[in-house]
Amino acid sequence: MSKLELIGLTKTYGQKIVIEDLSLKVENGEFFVILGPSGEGKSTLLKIVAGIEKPTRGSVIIDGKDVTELPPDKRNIAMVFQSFALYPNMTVKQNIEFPLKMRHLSKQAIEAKVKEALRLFEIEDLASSSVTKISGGQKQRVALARATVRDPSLFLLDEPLSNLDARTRFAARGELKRIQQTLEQTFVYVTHDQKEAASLANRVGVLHKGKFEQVGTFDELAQTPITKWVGEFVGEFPMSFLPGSFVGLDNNVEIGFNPYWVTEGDPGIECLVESVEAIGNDLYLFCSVNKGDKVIIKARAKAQVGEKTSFRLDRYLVFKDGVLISKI
Amino acid sequence: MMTLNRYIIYLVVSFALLMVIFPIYVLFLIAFTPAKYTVDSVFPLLYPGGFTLANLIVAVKSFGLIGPTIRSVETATLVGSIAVAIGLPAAYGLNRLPRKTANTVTATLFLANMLPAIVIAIPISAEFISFHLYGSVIGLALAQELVVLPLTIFLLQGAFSSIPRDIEYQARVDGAGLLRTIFTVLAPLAKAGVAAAFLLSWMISWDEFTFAVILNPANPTLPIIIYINLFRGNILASSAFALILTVPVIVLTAFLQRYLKGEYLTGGLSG
Amino acid sequence: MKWQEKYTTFLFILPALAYMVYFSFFPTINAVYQSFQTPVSHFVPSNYEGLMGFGLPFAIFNTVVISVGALALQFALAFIVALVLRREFKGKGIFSTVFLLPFGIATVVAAFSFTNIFATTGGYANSFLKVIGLHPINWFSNWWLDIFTVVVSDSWKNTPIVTLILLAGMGTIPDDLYQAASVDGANAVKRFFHITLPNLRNYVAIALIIRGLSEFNIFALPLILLGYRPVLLTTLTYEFYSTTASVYYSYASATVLLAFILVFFVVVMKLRSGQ
Ligand SMILES: Nc1ncnc2c1ncn2[C@@H]1O[C@H](COP(=O)(O)OP(=O)(O)OP(=O)(O)O)[C@@H](O)[C@H]1O
Ligand SMILES: [Mg+2]
Repeated sequence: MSKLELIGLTKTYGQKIVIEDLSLKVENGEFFVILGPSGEGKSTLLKIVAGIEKPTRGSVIIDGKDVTELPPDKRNIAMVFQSFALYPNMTVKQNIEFPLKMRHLSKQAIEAKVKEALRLFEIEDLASSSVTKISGGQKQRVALARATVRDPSLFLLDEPLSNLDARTRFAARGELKRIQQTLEQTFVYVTHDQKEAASLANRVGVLHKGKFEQVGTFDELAQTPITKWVGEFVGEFPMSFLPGSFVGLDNNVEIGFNPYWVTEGDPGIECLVESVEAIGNDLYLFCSVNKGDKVIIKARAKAQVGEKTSFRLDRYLVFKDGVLISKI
Repeated sequence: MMTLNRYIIYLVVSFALLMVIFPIYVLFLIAFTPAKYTVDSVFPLLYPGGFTLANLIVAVKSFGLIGPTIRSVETATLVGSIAVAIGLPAAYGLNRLPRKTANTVTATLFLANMLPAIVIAIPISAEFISFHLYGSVIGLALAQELVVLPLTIFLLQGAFSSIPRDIEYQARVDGAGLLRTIFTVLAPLAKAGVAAAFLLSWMISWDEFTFAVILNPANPTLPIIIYINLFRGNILASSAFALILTVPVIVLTAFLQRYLKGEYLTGGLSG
Repeated sequence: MKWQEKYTTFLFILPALAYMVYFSFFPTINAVYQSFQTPVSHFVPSNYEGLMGFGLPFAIFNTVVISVGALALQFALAFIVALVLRREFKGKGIFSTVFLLPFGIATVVAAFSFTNIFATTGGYANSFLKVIGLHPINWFSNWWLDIFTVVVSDSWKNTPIVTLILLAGMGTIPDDLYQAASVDGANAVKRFFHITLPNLRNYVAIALIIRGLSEFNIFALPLILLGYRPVLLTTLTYEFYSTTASVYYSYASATVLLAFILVFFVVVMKLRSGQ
């Protein structure tokens, strides 16, 4: 039995279709990441799972039980919002207690669980501080502590790291992974950040035009995108695309390749270097081929802007009408 | 902005202050100075000629000050409580309804609010007689509710709309039901607005005249007892009542100043 | 947050809405209906005909004069004070608090003070006139002065709320509009008429509706200051109610008042939406 199953979900606001006939299964213990650009309906989808929004059509099944008609408080899920949504009139401890109190646990049980959560997230010192007076990173810990303090069937997280500065975000990402592994719980995690998806996810679903365009591991998505759109969106760099004629194919197909699928300097396709970006020890060249088509390739040696170079394709994918048709 | 001369500003301010304060000053003057300097002289003194508590003592002793005061307090408190109890969920609901429906409801509330008290009060008085509500505190409070409820709802709507939606969603996900979310999470966050709504309703009821005079002439509240005594020529007694009516209101107005903003008072209308 | 809760949301509003509608519309319709009844016949205009003999036209005229006069005075004063309050000056906080006081002070108390201020003997207005060397006046000796005392007293009580609304409106006008206008060479007066006023339309309309409706309903103040004469629509209604000469007359007079209020409301709304 899957932990979470979505069947034929559709959500419209008036004329606007945000989610369209979307289906998904998330297995127990999985860390599932919903990846997509802004405004594609990631938050909407999560809110439908939480019960905050009702789908126009379709069902939400958690632990084999159809919860589509249940309000959020009857679904036994935990959620962390982008804004953290801490109750501003309560202390850190009161915030963490809140979901337990709502479930009428005994005083001792609440005390024990809260203590454990405070310890797990290393925020014992903050217990009686007001949540309005703590840092972003601390807020995030409190929000996570509040979400994990009880035993929900499912954790929903909506860009929980996006309000943190770069350094804190890095640390928090590691923390999140550790927590998930400790708790062995199921997470559904929304982000538009590639790095988060790459480092956290067991599986990633790329949301586009109301549907999952592709679901798979991050590597699968980056290496074998099944559509051109996924290729352009997923991965550290977008995939580069050229007309089929460059490799002797028909011009009604396109070839796509990642920067590191080429051997720069070898004879093959000629191009002009327009800019250079160094990432770690690697150099990436942003080039134009025939003036029109832009490609990104990994450089073998130093290169200057304005230089001409050429590259050989070691591997590439063939797309027709934006859809993957073969792998070479 | 307008380049008003500093002197003009202070001129306007001083004149306005004088105008505003003078009638209040007259009230205190009549209440606390011997009658021979005030109501009993052809040209009363513009400054305090003396100080006395006799006027107030006489009023308390011989004009039944306690009854109307208690009745006024009861009525106003009831009006404030009902306004918050009914207005709070309504304000929450209005914020959650689709824009168009909410506007229709707001317009209806305002329209109902617009109908004159004197037109409503007379038919209601007949109605109340048959329900044994005529002359009762509860009956009067129910009628005055018509004056304050829309205002309370607009004020609370403003207070609620400043709370992020995520907080509400979070409370639901954390296991709080809808009512619980409203009363244990949202209301405490809007508590300043709730307090303001209560106090404003309280104050309006405390001052209300039309319904009180038509529905409760035999069991008068403070405004009515002032009217009755003025009518009978008992100026000193009515000055004592007026003083009791005014003091809490001066405190409340200063306290509520933050909420007595045009934005709130115009309700949902400015959109 | 939709499904059954969609209806729950409406259930939350229902008590307030039902309450307002039931206790306002129902009695109002009842009053209009009753105004066409007499103990012996139904659907006859005889109550209105009877009222004509008790000064209905004069009551209408007085009500309109007082409303117009009070609105004019309140708006004029409110504009001046609002413009001043837009500026920073020492003691502004205290001034605005004190200036607000009449808003909270009961109408009856205002009436109490003004009764004593305008009293013919023992009145503070006359004391003041005497101090500055003028002749005392009998403030209730003619129609003009009657109207004047009511308009002044009412404006004392209600200018603050008009000021608050205008001030809220002025707060919504962006400063750069003024800056642009001064750069274009508009002086303070021109800026007021070409920027402040036109941009305040909505707020002026709201203040007009709120205050205008209350002016038509003005009751406690004239009742205490003037008694039943000169007659107003409200005092006429109350006179027939409290003396129980004919409660049907009071329904008729209330209906006339209602009609005026509705007409006023529609006119202001029309003015607000049209240019
Ligand atoms: N209540 C609503 N009414 C109308 N449209 C809405 C509503 N809520 C969301 N939308 C629209 O649905 C689309 C998806 O919104 P959503 O917040 O789910 O996007 P998102 O993928 O989470 O974006 P982001 O990454 O910016 O958070 C947006 O175009 C938004 O304008
Ligand atoms: Mg989002």
